[in-house]
Formats: sequence, C-alpha cells, structure tokens
Amino acid sequence: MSEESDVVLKASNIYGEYVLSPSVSIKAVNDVSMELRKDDVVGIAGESGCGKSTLVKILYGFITHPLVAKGSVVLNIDGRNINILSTDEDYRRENIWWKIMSYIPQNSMNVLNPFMRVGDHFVELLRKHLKMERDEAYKMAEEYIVNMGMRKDVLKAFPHQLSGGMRQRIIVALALLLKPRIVFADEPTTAVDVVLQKVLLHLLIDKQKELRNSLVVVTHDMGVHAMVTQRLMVMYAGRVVEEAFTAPLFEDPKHPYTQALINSLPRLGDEKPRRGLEGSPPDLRNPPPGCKFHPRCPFAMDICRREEPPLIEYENGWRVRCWLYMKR
Amino acid sequence: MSQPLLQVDNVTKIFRYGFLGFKFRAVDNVNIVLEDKPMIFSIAGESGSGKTTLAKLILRIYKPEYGRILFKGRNIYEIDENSFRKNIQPIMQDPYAAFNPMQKPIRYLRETAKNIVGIKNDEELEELIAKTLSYVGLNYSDVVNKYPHEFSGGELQRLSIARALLPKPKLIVADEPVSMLDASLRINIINLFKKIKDELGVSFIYITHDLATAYYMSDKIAIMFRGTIVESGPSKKVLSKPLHPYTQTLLESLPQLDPKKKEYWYRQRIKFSAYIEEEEFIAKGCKYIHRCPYAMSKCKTEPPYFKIDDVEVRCWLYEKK
Repeated sequence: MSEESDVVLKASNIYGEYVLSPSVSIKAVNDVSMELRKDDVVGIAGESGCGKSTLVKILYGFITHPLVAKGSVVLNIDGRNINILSTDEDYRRENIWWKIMSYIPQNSMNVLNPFMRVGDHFVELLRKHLKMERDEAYKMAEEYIVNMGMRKDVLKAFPHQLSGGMRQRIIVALALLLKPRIVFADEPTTAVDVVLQKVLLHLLIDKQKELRNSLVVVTHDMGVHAMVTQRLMVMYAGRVVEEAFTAPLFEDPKHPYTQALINSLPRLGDEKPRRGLEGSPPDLRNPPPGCKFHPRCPFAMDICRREEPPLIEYENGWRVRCWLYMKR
Repeated sequence: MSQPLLQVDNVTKIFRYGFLGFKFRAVDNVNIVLEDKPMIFSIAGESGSGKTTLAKLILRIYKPEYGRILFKGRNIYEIDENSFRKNIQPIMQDPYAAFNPMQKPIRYLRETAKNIVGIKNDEELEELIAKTLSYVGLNYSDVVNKYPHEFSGGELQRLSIARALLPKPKLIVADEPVSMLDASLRINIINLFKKIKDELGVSFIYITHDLATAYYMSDKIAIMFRGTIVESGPSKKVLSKPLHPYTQTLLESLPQLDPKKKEYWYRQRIKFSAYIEEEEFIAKGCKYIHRCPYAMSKCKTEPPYFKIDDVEVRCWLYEKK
C-alpha cells in the first residue's frame, strides 16, 4: 500500500499566506505535509476559514494574488519529479492542469462560460490538449457524455438552459474528461440537495474506481467523508489537527475538535441531545497563542495556552496534534 | 376543539416560467394544520420542491392564487400589518445577507422593538433588547457597537433569532436557518430553537433539506416534492418508517455518519432521470412518476391522501384494497 512508487504527489511543509497589506496577513495554511497515492481517496474536513480550500489551491498550483505559497509540492509523473510551486503558470496550464491534475471548484455550477454552448467547452479542451479536430472532438464529447449517464442534447444547450444540478454534473464530467491522475473536488456538493449529492458522489467514485487515480474531497460535511473517503485530514485554523484512516477515525476520534465535529451531528434514529462547541473559529489575522483550539477546547490545560503541540504519531498512520496524546 | 394555530387550506401558488412561458404550480393544493400547542413542524424536500415558496406564502410575501391561510381562524390577509408581524416572525437562510452591512445590527432590533412591539420608553427598550440578547446567548455590550462584518455567521444568526423573538411571536418561520453555518455551530442554534419552543412556547415552521436535523428537533414533518406534500405525520415515524417512494429515496441518499455503512450506501443506486424540473412540475397525476421504481398505470391520475395510522401519504401503493 505505502510503496514509494505509488506516491503521485508529495507536499511538504506548505505555508499559504494572504498578504493583504505590509502589516496584515492571514496565515491560512500553516505547515501542512501530505502524500497522495495512486487509487486513494483523501478527505479534507474542517469548517469554513480553516484553510482547506487554500490548501487545495496550493496543491493544484492555482496561486493568485494575494495568496503567497511556500514549501514544495512534488508531482511524480512516471518517475519524473516536478515541483509545482517552482513552475510558472503557463507551464502548468500547458502540461499539468486538466491532463494530470484537475480541479472542481466551489460553486462549480457557475463556472461555465455563459456565451458558450456546453459542447464547446468539451471541444475546446479536447482540441487544446489532445490536438483533435473539431468534428472528431465533438463526436468524442458526445460518446463521453452518454457514457457519463447524460443525454447528448445537453451539449447543444447553453449553461443557463440547464438546471444547477445538471451544470454541476457537466463540471464533474469536464474535470474527468482527460483521465487525470489527481482530482481535487472542493465542496463538490454543498449547493445541492441530498438526492443530487448522491448522484454526483457516485459519478466521482465510479470514475475514481475506473481510473484508479487519487481523489481529494474537500467538504465540511462529515457524512460525505464517512461515505466516500479512505483517509481523512481534519484541519483547524490552518493546521492539520488529525490525520487517520476514515473508518477508525469515526469509531474513536482523538482530537477534541474532531470529537466535537463528529459527535455534534444529529443522526437519524437517535434522539440523544447533542451539544456543539462554544465560541467560533479564531481570527487568523490574530490567532491565539499555543494550541489554536484551546479557547474552545473542553480539555484545555496550562500547556495548551503556552505552546502549540506538534503533530504526534499516535499509531501507524494516525497523527494527532494535541497535548493529550503526548507520551511523557 | 380549539382553534388551530395555523391552517394552510388548499393553497396554490402559480408562477409563470419566462415572459410568455407556461404556468406551473410551485405550491399545489397544500394543506397543513398546526395545532395550538408549541411544536416544531418541519417541511423537508429537495431544492425546487416549493418549500421556500410555501414559507413565503405563510409570511405574506407572496399571495396565493387559490386557497387561504388561517392564523388562529382568521385569514392572514384580514389581519392588520402590526398584529401580523407581532405573531408571525421570519428567520432567513443567509445571516450574512440579513443585515445591511452599512448599519449596526442593533438598529434592526431597536426598530423592531419600537415599531412592532411599540415600546416608546428608551430605557425599557434597551432593557428588553439586552434581555432577549442574553437569552439567545449574546452579550449586549458586545453587540451594541459592532457592524455585521465584525460578527461570525453563528452570532449573526443568533441576532436574527433575537430580533424575531422581540415581539414574543406565536410562530416563527425559519427558512433553512442553519444551512449557511459551520458544522460545529449548527447544533447550538438547533438546541436554541428547542429551548425557545419549550420555554417560551413558540411554534416553529422549520424549512430544511437536512433530514437529520429535522429528525432531531421536529415533532411533525411534511415531505414536499414538486409543490405537493407527498407524506406527512409525526417526524420520528415518517423518518424511521418512510412510506412514500420519494421519502425512501431521500433517506437512502442521506450520507450516514458511519463508514461501516459505506458499501451499502454505495450499492443503493439512485434512478436519476434526465427529465427536467419543468416537466415534473406540469406532470399530470403523481409528480414522482418519472423516477418512481414502483410506477404503474394508475399513477397517471393524481393519488389522494391515504391515511395510515397518523401518517398521511400520497401514493397509490397504499390504496386500501
């Protein structure tokens, strides 16, 4: 499972900072390291403002002002190593995006060009990257869209003629068109209802199983993580607080934040009163000292207020950033 | 028998699609009765099911084409503005959009207290506001000089709730009140609703697509699909033994918080037809016919409500032989 050759992307010590002015900057991602392997589904969980979207943008190499990224994101393409963060954008656009990595952005139902027919989005992509002729590309797009379970007349429609759910399915189809090795899905299902959510997730998982690539799902919805992911990273205030395999993590979450996140959710068939966390996530312009979670933590100790805990290896593949699990 | 608190009586709302386009019924012949005792009534369904339109009809934002809505036996259009607002209050979905970014939220509370509650005395007014704010878990001195961008989403939603509570309403219509909030803050707002219901005796109409929270907090539930109520009854019963095929699909597609159920969830496929919404809205008979696994020829005529114990379900499968 954990063979070196299976690693398709290795990110080490990533820092992401939004520099708003010389004196104000927001450290949205703080020292995050992760690995993506072949045939792997990784989830990134956390509430809004915890840096999960920023992390994915850095991994994808989509870094625009005022975001400044440090660290290294090494992509392994058949033995060739490329550090994404040291390439320029034209190179990434030409050689990496869509073909090797693709990205399904948040609010993806609004990213289609309103002046282009849906089919032209597909044709443009195929012509640009596979150097196909127009007719050939259109035919391929038709086959592909039927294969994805949609009717081929959607290609003739303009984006506004389709429902939100249909547009979202088109975006997923576009992102998977060139059989990328890594797919980043940033909140792919937030704006849709449960029925469509399941349809979209099925679409993503089916393709992942078929292509055996790695899929990164970013969402705050723990239910989606439980149903889709194999490994899970929980982020809080720009840092990874817990990282583990999904199944044991849901059984017995270690970090108090993960515990609150999982235990506060109401479940069907269970009327037990549930309690949430007090307070709200910290302001990253001015984060609290020590552990970023201590103002809301029910187990906060003295050391938590002074010093930030390191990410501790708790068990094989299970890492947690909390003083409670520090062996002394 | 006492007068019901709210009675939605055969209400229909028609929208026109496009300028000269066809008409469709966003809310089609809906009946709801809320007895006069504090309760949380959930209206659940997917987007485009007409649940928000129904909320807006109850709040007098839209006027129904047919049918009437009675509040304590009186048509809501016969109640004067002030006593209507005193009795029925809204809480909207997006707390960030509910307040003018250029004005302090406290101003909305003051205006509500002045214009709707009718308090003239300034001291009394501030006292009421402070009391209400502390009830929803906010501190008066923290709120009074802040602008909306200085609050978090959870705090803004608490402010909306405090504003809605000022006139001591009988009914609060909450349209997806927690869907914009962070997961760790959601449950606190939901617990606050339960507390308000138990302690202040306020009834809620809770509009949601999240069946897990509906199960957790509500007493009764109505499942809507394309403008009609397909199933209604006590929420624990409806959500643990769903009768209508649509309710069953909704519950099956809900992601479970348990990775052990992953395989089962993944195997349960959803038949998602390419039929567009408009076609479903104007479908004669049962609107669910295009997706229903049990569809039969009878479904082309509209099914009536069949009563099974205290659950009403609108499906031919439950016709008494």
